[in-house]
Formats: sequence, structure tokens, C-alpha cells
Amino acid sequence: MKTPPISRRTVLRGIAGGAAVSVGLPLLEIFLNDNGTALAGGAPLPLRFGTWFWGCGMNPARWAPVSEGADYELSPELEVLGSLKSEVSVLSGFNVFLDGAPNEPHYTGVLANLTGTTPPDAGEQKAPTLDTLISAVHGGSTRFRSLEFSATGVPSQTFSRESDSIQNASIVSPIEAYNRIFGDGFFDPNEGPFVPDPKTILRGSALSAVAEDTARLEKRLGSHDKQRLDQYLTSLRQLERQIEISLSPPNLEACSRPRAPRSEDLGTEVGQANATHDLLTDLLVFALLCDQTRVFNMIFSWALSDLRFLGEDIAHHQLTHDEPVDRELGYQPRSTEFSQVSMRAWARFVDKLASTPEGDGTLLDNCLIMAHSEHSFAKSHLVAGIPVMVAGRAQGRVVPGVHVRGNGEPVSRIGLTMQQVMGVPVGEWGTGSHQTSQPVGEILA
Amino acid sequence: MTRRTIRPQLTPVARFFCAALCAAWLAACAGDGPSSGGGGGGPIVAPLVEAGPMAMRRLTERQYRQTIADVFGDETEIPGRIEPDNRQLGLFAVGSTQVSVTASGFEQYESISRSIAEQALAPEKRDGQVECAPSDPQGPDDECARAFVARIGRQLLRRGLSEEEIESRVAVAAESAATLGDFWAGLQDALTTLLLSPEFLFRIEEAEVDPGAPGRMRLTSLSMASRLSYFLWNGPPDEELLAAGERGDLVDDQLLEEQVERMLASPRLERSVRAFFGDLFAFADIDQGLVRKDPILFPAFSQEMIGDAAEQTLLTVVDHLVAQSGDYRDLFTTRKTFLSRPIGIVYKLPVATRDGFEEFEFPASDPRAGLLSHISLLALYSHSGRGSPTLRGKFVREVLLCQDVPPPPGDVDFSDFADADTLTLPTARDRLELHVVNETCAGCHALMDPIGLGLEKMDGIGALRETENGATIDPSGQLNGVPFRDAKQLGRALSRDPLLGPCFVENYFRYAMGRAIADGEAEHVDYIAAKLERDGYALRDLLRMIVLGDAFRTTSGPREVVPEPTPDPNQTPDSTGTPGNGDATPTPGEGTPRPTDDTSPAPTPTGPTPTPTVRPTRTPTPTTAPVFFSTIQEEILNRRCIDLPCHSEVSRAGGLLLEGSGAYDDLVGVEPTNAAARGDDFLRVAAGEPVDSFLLFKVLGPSDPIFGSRMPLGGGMLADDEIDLIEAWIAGGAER
Repeated sequence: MKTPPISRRTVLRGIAGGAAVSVGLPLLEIFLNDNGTALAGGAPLPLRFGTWFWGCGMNPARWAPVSEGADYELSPELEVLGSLKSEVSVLSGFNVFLDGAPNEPHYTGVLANLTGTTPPDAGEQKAPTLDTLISAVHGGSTRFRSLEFSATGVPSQTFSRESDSIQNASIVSPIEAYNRIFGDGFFDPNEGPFVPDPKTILRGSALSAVAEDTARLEKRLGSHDKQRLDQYLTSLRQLERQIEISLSPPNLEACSRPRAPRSEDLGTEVGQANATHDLLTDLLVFALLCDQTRVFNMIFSWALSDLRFLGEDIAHHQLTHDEPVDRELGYQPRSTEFSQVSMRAWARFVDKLASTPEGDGTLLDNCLIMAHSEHSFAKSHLVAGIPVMVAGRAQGRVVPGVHVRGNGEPVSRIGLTMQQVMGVPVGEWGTGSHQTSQPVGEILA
Repeated sequence: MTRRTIRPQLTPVARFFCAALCAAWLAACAGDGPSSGGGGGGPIVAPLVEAGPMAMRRLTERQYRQTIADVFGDETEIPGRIEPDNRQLGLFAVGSTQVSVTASGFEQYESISRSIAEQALAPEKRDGQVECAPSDPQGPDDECARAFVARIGRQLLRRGLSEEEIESRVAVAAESAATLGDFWAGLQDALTTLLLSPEFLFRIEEAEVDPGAPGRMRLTSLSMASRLSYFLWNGPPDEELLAAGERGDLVDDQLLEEQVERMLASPRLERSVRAFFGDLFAFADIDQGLVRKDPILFPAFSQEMIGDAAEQTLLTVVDHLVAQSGDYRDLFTTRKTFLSRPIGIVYKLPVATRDGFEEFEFPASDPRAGLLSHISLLALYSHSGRGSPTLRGKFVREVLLCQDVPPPPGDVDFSDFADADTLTLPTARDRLELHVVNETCAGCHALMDPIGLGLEKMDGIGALRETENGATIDPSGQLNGVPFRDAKQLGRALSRDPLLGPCFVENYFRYAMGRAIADGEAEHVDYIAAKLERDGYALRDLLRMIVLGDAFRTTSGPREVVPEPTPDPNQTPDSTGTPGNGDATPTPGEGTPRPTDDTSPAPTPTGPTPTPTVRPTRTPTPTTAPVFFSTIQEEILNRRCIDLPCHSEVSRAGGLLLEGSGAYDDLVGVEPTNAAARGDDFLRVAAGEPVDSFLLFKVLGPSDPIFGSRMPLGGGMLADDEIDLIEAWIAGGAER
């Protein structure tokens, strides 16, 4: 079937196909929907947003549940969720559109999903990722604007990106994570009454002197450097804010200082990734209970997943390409083993949050977490039907445990939903075929 | 404002042909005295330079560490992790002019700064740092603080401080000293603020009108001091250089030359060489422990071993280029190197020295010689469980020969391939050959794999082997038409490749400037290469020509932001021309997903990252004027289709030739190779029928993956007016 190439722009833009899934709540109602949030000691518990990423997707036919709506039947590849399915919504069949840009393997899908804009080329990014849009709203009230983690040992592996040159590096070492969050500047409410340290106050005044330098400097710079200096100043202000917050730390009932990790073993081998992920998750849980951040990003395995089993010379991503689809099984058994490793890690992650009490409920009840990957079927580099899951009740704003079929709707509807639930004042999000004003109503309370 | 051409980022490739021609010409004239870089005979004449823009540069991690060591002593510890550097165009040096400081990065800098200040002013060290004794160690002493701030501030900011800057620090010191009842604590806080100053973390340069050539901007003498020292010493200026900068010496030809000669003779020169090669080869991945191997498959691998392997390479390079003043190209054939015990285990060679390195020469019969046979590079450009001919080949092409390998095509679908079980094939050559049946992949893999396969007798950590899975490894191949039988011959072919030397010059130049080569500097770079091609690629000659050249000493001014085109749903994302000066278009960063496999050549973790092409907007060709093929060829095909080299005479990717006089006959009225397109009755070019012309369809973006990728694969999509031109040519009857 030849598509007539001329009237080219229509062809290139692609058509947002499929029937509308449903019309979501108008924006205002979501903002007002603030009841039902668990309260502890009269003070509202913080609401948090996180992402959880795994690399190299899944097998669409085995991953998406057959039944829709609440109490969906677990699919073979989601079997590992078990009883947690009541906490996890599955959003299948939402699409990333290319809008004429190439489908850069292992890049276009994840960036389009997180920014609502198809990247024009590998490595390019035209809009900030949604976690940074959410931390712009929520990051100001905690010590850390957001915290990024990656479980396979490479700090530059991050999808928290304000632009292609401003990327929030991941913490890969549990020991470093502990020191950064619970070292200097952390106050444990169980360790006696808080006494502000005069040194901390002085740190703040020292920073003011540095800020004065930038003001003097600005006049001398070209426009490109001015932008970079502005970013530097924003980062300085963030630290000032952090210092200020540490002078009146939150006194949360559930907060305590975790035990410091004694050892760590970083790498892409499955055992290393699992252990590192679980250690980082434990620390994240403490960080959230102590309200050190309200936005986080956890990468279990990288896009182009390097996960591998000990003693095997071929890693996950390579397998997705080299391994034939088994004719009997209808899928690639070895590659699928790796996506199962990721699904199990996701289940452990959700379970950890769901089994951590907070207020009258659990930590998970006060979170909104979006799990995602960069492809659906990695062998084909498919970005149609890119897999997304949502966990957490977001203090009653979200209904967990439903399966929503996207039927080819833009994946940006999910990103829009995340922002609106988190109170980002946005009514329309995304560009090109991803432009949307419709949140995913099925998961909204 | 520099003149802009259609494709500034591809100048290296354009020069590929030029350099090859020049080399052939030089060879023909060997012994005939000085020759010309322009190929026209006569002496090599220095071209006029229109230098590119300047931008502030964040100190790289190495530079930060070096600066702290120079100012406060080698023993100063830097706790924690400095914000990761950002690699662009294959270099941290280039990324350093793009990055700022993120929130978490600033947090780290602050905590590191406080620790450094505490160490520098610790009781046992403070006497060396502070000349005066405080009148009251339990309180403020403004006068003493002032003296310290002024002296140390000049060293850290690499210039004298203004009154205002000094007083703001004195105030910080006073406040802290009074609050904490400790003069030294106050001084620490003042020092911390200096270490956090943007003018410490960034090198910020200033330009002034050149009195000798009004209308031209030159760097101030003071800015030259830091530019020189961070380039030639990878650290801050020493007192003599800083003083020369302050006196104005460094804008004087004679005095500048004197300082440059002193710097080239200094032992500190080694730092520059280490920094440059460490940057180019991406050794930071080794330093940071990011190179990890499977412990069962590679029991000899350890972080200590791979650290020593990087050191071996740097020692070899430094010895050859600095101590011996050798020719860069000989690094790929030299048998001389340095060994330590941990790497001796992998090389299977006895090492007498218990700790550290000893000189070693591989015997002539040994299968190893040259840098390509070093463990460091072999292990770095490999996967955790196996070697990678693709990554190794890509390293040689992109890093050593400056040839862009296009990124993997978008929309590549591996389920297209015959579902043969490549996993059961014994050698990498078997696996790759089977895999690369897809024409879209084959073109680019042919640029990388054959080189990497030449290194296959060295495994994922660089240990020798004869077989893989029981099958004998065949390491033969060819490099740019020169056949080789094994790794050693590959090294020899590489050392004689006409692209190797000019690429070294380009890389060092980019490293010096922290950005892409500006249009007005391209001839200057060619000129340096032509001279070295004639006289040999001696490092000091290269550095001297770079720093004394006008590209290094003058500038077009500060870099300005390229305005971001407003997203227009009617525009394809890449088709808008973006006018601007130089290289401000951000390039793919470090966080770009990395390839880990041999069949999907995404940008390597370390190789140069392809830069999006920046094109000026042109007036669309009026469709009424007749368009001839010569215009299409000159304006579009020659610039975009043959230079990677995909549709050139050597490659003919997809069986399509777009170079030279045969191109027309290969296009017009010819059936495409793509089966789906043939089934749809496309012709490559159907005269008078744009709708039936596959060429147009391909540059617009095929609607279905069965038609293959959108073209061109590298350097961004064609601009709208370029596409219009093709359409007008076809509609007008596709005239020759």
C-alpha cells in the first residue's frame, strides 16, 4: 500500500488513531479533589511522585492483561505481581508517535513518553521530562528537589532531564545515597530535640556572597553563558533553600535514620542489580518517610539493558536482537527471562512501599508512581504500545488496580494525568501528535 | 560573525577527501621541498583565520583536582563525587563549554569546598597559607582576612580580586569568626565562597579590540594566561605566567612565544598529553570504575588491572610524544610500552618490578604492537561478557580517523531479519555477517565491523586467543582499501592512513578550543595538518602552531544562544534552519542511551557524538525555473549522501550510487532495490512524477518501515527547501 507522499506534512505527522478511551475529569475537579487524603496528627502527609524504569520492554501479547478494568486477570508476564495487582494499574496500548522523526532505538520512546514531545534525533530533547515539571511544583519544600537512582552502576544513566545539557545524574551507590541523604544536614527526630547548628546558618550567608558574584558577572557574558550562569544560580538557590529547610526539619512520626549500608557491589549482573536496587529502595523509603524529597526516579535497568547473568557472555539488549522467537513458545525465552527479572524487581519495589506504614495507611497510598520502559517489543524497537504501569493511590486521587487499554491513544495522556494528579497547573500537554488535554479518566478517583 | 556554510559539522569529512588528495600529492612530490596545503604547489601558506566564539568552560574533574593540588598541595583530599563531565563531539573539553551546574552538582561542590577549606586551614597547614597572625584567634581580624583573601583569591580566580569582591569575603569571615568565636573558622567560610565562585568553577574569558587589527577581537593578556595553562598544563597558571598575563605580555608576539616555549619545555606538559588522550579515549570510564567485566569469564579482570592498563597507555603516549618527541602516527606500530604486574598477568608476560611499571618492548614476533593492542582500549570498547568488533571499529573510525559513522537508522526492526539463530554461531565474524544482511544496517556496519574483526584475536579484556567457541578466528580485513592480515598489520595500515594525522590535529584543536572547528578556522586546521604531514606529527610542533595561531588568540566574541524555532506542527522537527554563530546548538549528551550490541550501532559511550546539522534558511527555489541534475548533485547529493561514505563509489549502500557522473543513470528510471517499493511501482526517480519517485519518498520519510529508513541517515533531515528543490527537479522532467 503506497501512501501518496505528496501532501507530505499530513503523511509525516501521523494520525492519532483509535477511539477515545474516555473523557477524564476536568482539571479543576482534580485540584479540588483533596479529600480522603490520609492525615497524621492533623498535618497533611506529603504527596510524592516517582518514576520506575526498566529497559528493553516486554512481549506485548504476553504482558497486557486480557481483561480490562478493575480486578483484571494477570497476564503471564505480570503474574509476578500476584496480590499486588490491586495496587498496580496497567496502561497498555498507548502509543508514542514519531511525527516524521526517526524512531531512534532505545531513545525516542522514552523521551517522547517523558516529555510529551518526539525528539527530533538521538540525544536531542525538546522539552523537560515530567518529573522535573512536577519537582518544579513540589521540590521547593524539601531538602532535595528530587532524588535519582540507578541500580546498574552508571551515574550518567538518568532520565531526569531539564534539557539535553541539564541532566540530573543518578546516585548509583547505596553508600553514597546514605551519606548524601542521611549524613550532614539530616535531622533524625528520634535523636532528641532539634538544635539549629550555627554553622548551618553561616553556610547560608556564605552562599549569599557567592550569589553576589554571579550578579557582577552576568554583565560580561554572552547570551549562551548567561543561560548557563542562570542555571548555576538556580542550583545555588536550591542549596540555600535546602539549608533553610534543614534549619526547621519536618517532624514526621514515621521518620527515623536508617542503618548505613555496609557494603555494595555495583554492576549489571542480575544479582548485583537486584541487590543494589533493593538497597536503594530501602534508603528511598526512609528518605520519603522523612520528607527529604517528594520526587524520585529509580532506574532498575537502563534502556539498552545491560543486565546479564553471571558467567554469560551475552547481555539482555543483545539477546533481544540476536535471539530468535521460539516457534513453539511464540516469544524469546532468554530475553523474556530478563524482562521477568525487571518485573520481579518492580513487584518488590511496590511491595516495599505498600508494606511501609505511614499515617493511617501505607507509604504507597501517599505516592504516585509511574513505571515505564523505552520499547514494547525490543526486537522490533516498537514504540507503539509502550508499556506503562501506575502504582499508588496518590492520597485517594487515583484508583489503583485497573487495566486500561489505550487503543493507540497518545502516551502523553498518561504524563498529563501524572502532572494533574500532582497538582501541576497544566490543562494541555505535549506537542504534535502528543498534544493532549485528556487525562486517563479510568484511573482517576 | 563567521561565514557559515551548509554543513559546518561535516568539515572533517569534507577534508577527508582533501586530505587524501593532499597526501597523495605530497607523496608524489616527496623530496621536492616545501609543498602547499592547498595542493597548488609552492610553500604552505598560512591562511587568514576567522576565529569562532568563546564560551565559559567548567573545569573538568581533572582540572578541578589539578587546580586544588597546585594551590593547596597534592595531599589535599577531594571527598565525594564531582559532577560528571559531559562528553560532546567525543570530548569532555567540548562538553565543558555547554554544561552548567545542576542542583545536585552544586550541593557536591559546596560540600567539597568546605572540606578543602577545612584541610587548607587545618592547624598544621595554616601557617603555609596565611602570612599574618590574627590579632585574636577567637574573633574576627579583617586585616589579616583581607590579606589572605586577596592572595588566595588571585590564585583561585586566576586574576586579582576587586575591592568589592574582597570585602564581601572579609564580611563572611568576620560574621563566622564572631559567631563561632574562631578566626580560622571564619577564614574557612571565606575560602569556601571563593571555591564556589562561578569564576573558580568556570573559566570565563574576556576579549578586547585588537589594536593591531581594529574590527578584530583578541583575548586579553590575562585571559590568555588561563587559556594557555589549562590547555598546555591542564591546570592553573603558575606565578610567572599569571604575572605575564597581568603585565600584558601575552598579547605581544615575542613575549607570548617566550612563555609558550617555557611551557612546552616544562614537565607539566605531560599533564596536557594525559588529559587529552584520557579525554579522547574516554579513560574516565576506567577511572570511575565503570568498566566492569564478568568475573567468571574474565577472572584476571580487576579494577586495579584495568586502571593499570589505562596507565600503560598513557605512559606509552607520554614517553613517545613528550620524552622521545616521536611522530604521533608511530604510536600505532610502536612495540615499546610499559608493564606492571597486574597487566602482565593478562599479557602473560613476567614483570620484575613489584610495584609500578617497567619499560618493555614487544618482540618483533609478538602479535601485539601499537596502541590498538593495548588492554585498555580493547577492554573499554567491549561488552561485559565479550569483545565487540563494532565498538572497536567505531572507535577507530570516529575517534582516530574523524569519520562520522551514522547512528543506527531509526525504525530498525530486528524481526525483519531471517530468524536464524545467530546465538549458535561460533565467531563474531559469523554472527555479524549473518546479521548484516539488512541493507540499511549493512552500509554502516561495513564501516566498523571489518576493522574491529581485525582485533578479534584479543578478547573482551584484551587477552590473546586463537579460537572462539572452538572455531579459528580470522582477523584479516581491510582499512580504507588497504588489506591487513592481523592486528599488527591493521596497526600499520592505520599508521599510514592519510586521515590519521589530520584527525589528530582536528581533535587536539577541538580540545584546545572546547568546541567544534568554526568555518573560518577550517583552513587554518588544514594548514597545520599540511605542515605536520610534511614534517612529521610531533606534538610540540602541533601545540605551538595551535597556541600561536589566531584561532587560539582571537575570537568572534561570546557565544550567543541560537533561538529555538517555535514548534510548528506543520514542520518536520528537523527542517528549520537555525542561524547562529558557531556551535551553540546543543549536541547529544552523556546520558544518551549507549549501544551495547554489535548489531545496533548507536553512538558509543565515548565516541564523538554526531552533531545535528545546522543549516541556514535559504530562499526556496522558484519552481518555475528549470532545475538540472547538476544542481541537485552539487547542492544536496554531494553534501549529504556520499560523504559518510554511504552512496559513494566505495560504498554504494543499498546498491545506489549518488557520486560522480554515474549518479544520474543510477537514479532516473531505475527500479529501487527495496522490494516493497518495487512492488508499489516506485522508480528511484520517475521523471515528471514526484509521487512515484522513491528518492523523494525516502527524504520525506516513508510511511511504513517496510520502505526502510528516512534519508539521509546522518546529519539531520534535509531542509524543506532542499526537498522542494528535488521535487521541482523531478516535476520538471528530471533533466540531466
